[in-house]
Amino acid sequence: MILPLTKSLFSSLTSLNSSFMKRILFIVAILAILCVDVKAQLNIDTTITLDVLKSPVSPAFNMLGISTSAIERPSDLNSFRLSVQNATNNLTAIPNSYAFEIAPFLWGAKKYTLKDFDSSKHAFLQSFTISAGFTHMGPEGQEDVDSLKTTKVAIGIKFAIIRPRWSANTRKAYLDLIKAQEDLLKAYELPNMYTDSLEILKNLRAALGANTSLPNNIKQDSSARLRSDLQRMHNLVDSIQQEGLPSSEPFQRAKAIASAFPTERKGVFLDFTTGMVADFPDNRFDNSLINKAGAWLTGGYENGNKGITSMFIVRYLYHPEVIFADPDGKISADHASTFDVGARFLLSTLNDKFTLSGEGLYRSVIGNTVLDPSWRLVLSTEYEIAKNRKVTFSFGRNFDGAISKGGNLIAAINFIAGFGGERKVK
Amino acid sequence: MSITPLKKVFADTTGKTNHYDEYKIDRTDSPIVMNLFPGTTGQSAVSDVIIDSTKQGSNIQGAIINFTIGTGNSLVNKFLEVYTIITDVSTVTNLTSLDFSLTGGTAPYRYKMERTVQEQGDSAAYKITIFFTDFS
Repeated sequence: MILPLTKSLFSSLTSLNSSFMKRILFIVAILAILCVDVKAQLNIDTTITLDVLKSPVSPAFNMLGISTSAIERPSDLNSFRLSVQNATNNLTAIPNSYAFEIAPFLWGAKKYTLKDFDSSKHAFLQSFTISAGFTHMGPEGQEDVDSLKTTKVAIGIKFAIIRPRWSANTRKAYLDLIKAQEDLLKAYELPNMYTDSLEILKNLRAALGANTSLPNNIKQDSSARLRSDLQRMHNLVDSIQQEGLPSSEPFQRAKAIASAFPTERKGVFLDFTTGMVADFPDNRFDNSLINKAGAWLTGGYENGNKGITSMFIVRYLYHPEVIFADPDGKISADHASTFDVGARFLLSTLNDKFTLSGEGLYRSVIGNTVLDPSWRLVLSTEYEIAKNRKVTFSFGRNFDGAISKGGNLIAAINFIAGFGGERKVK
Repeated sequence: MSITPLKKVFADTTGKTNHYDEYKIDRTDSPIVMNLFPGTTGQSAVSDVIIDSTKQGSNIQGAIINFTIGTGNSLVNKFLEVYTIITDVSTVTNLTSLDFSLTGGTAPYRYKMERTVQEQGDSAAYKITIFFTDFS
């Protein structure tokens, strides 16, 4: 296909000057070479599949099948109480389903201010989340048939073991916000008249306390009047001090930063997630069985704006919806336990010109002799030799053991796109 | 007026952002300790702590925990002023709050205030003034 095209190009371009001709010849030659490698490249599935192992946002609800919109997320004890009251019609009825997600350690008297989120010190308590729920309904399509209704209870826990600190971008935004708050604090503490008034009233108050000639009851009456005067003055001065604050420059500066505060993190992270569903088949609490269970350990390196550059996931599932190691459904998912491990990394150097990325997946069914554990590996490199010009190489091993390699598919696409314009193709 | 600890522990939550009160202390060398917890979770706070016009703490970020402001002897007939700016950064709520407490006097003291700001990013300015007295 390439040769006839090359010939026709030659004949139609004979009138062009020699340097331009050389360039065209070079492009055509490169395209011809690339097309040979495209076939080999197509054998490698470079689709990132690590996502299939990711832990769910709310483990309990995913297993229970409750939609995320039906989950109550009370932010304190009062709103949790109200939520339960609403769901139970003021504790007079049991709903068909109820689910909540809470962060109990954020409910205490100790509040974590913004700066407490820039460290790993409080990561566990701040990130600890409990999700729980229950359903009392029949199987799919017969949810409201009373005789078929069974109760399922789910509980899930999530927390961070290691949490990265803020990125430089977030820390700069925080310091800018603190500067604006400091300026606002300075403006708030003015005018000075309050301090001067306090001095006068303090002397009066001290003199009253030290006066030994006055009877105690008169001293107490005078003290109460003085305190009342001070409270009034305090309110008055505060209203004066507060008056101009919202329109002040520091207030507006703080508002601009706070309303668009970026929360990016950079560094090593490690999260743990687990959840289980208990089934009560005859609706008796003394007869239950574990219906589903799962645990996820996720770690890696988070890189601020650039997202996660390296990640690994270890996953255990009991009675999964789909067995990852058995896409053809050779074995039953009932009472099956699966163990999957995945890792992905992305290394970018030389001003993002050179990129090395890889992904590995291991999947197995525990205690099963029908399916052997299998693994998959994909490695690829890219080097940008010029704008819109990339040289690539890929190496892959599929779950079935087939090894394939290739490269320059991206270069070919980029080359073609780059030939037509400067638009970068990714 | 004597301060009833229970009453203060369960002090009413108010919409106001300033508070004046007296705190009874003894003329001893016992330390008077202050705690200040700005809230709610995720908000940003900066505070100044002033004793009789002299700054004891300047531009303190976040919570102030176990801050010794002086002894009974050194604080009698003096004013403690605490200024705090709380900016609403949390996207979950517009509520700001301040939980202030003192120990070391004749009884523990606690006062809580809170204010909901109008818009995301707005700031609330809080001021607490305490007069330390050995007579009440």
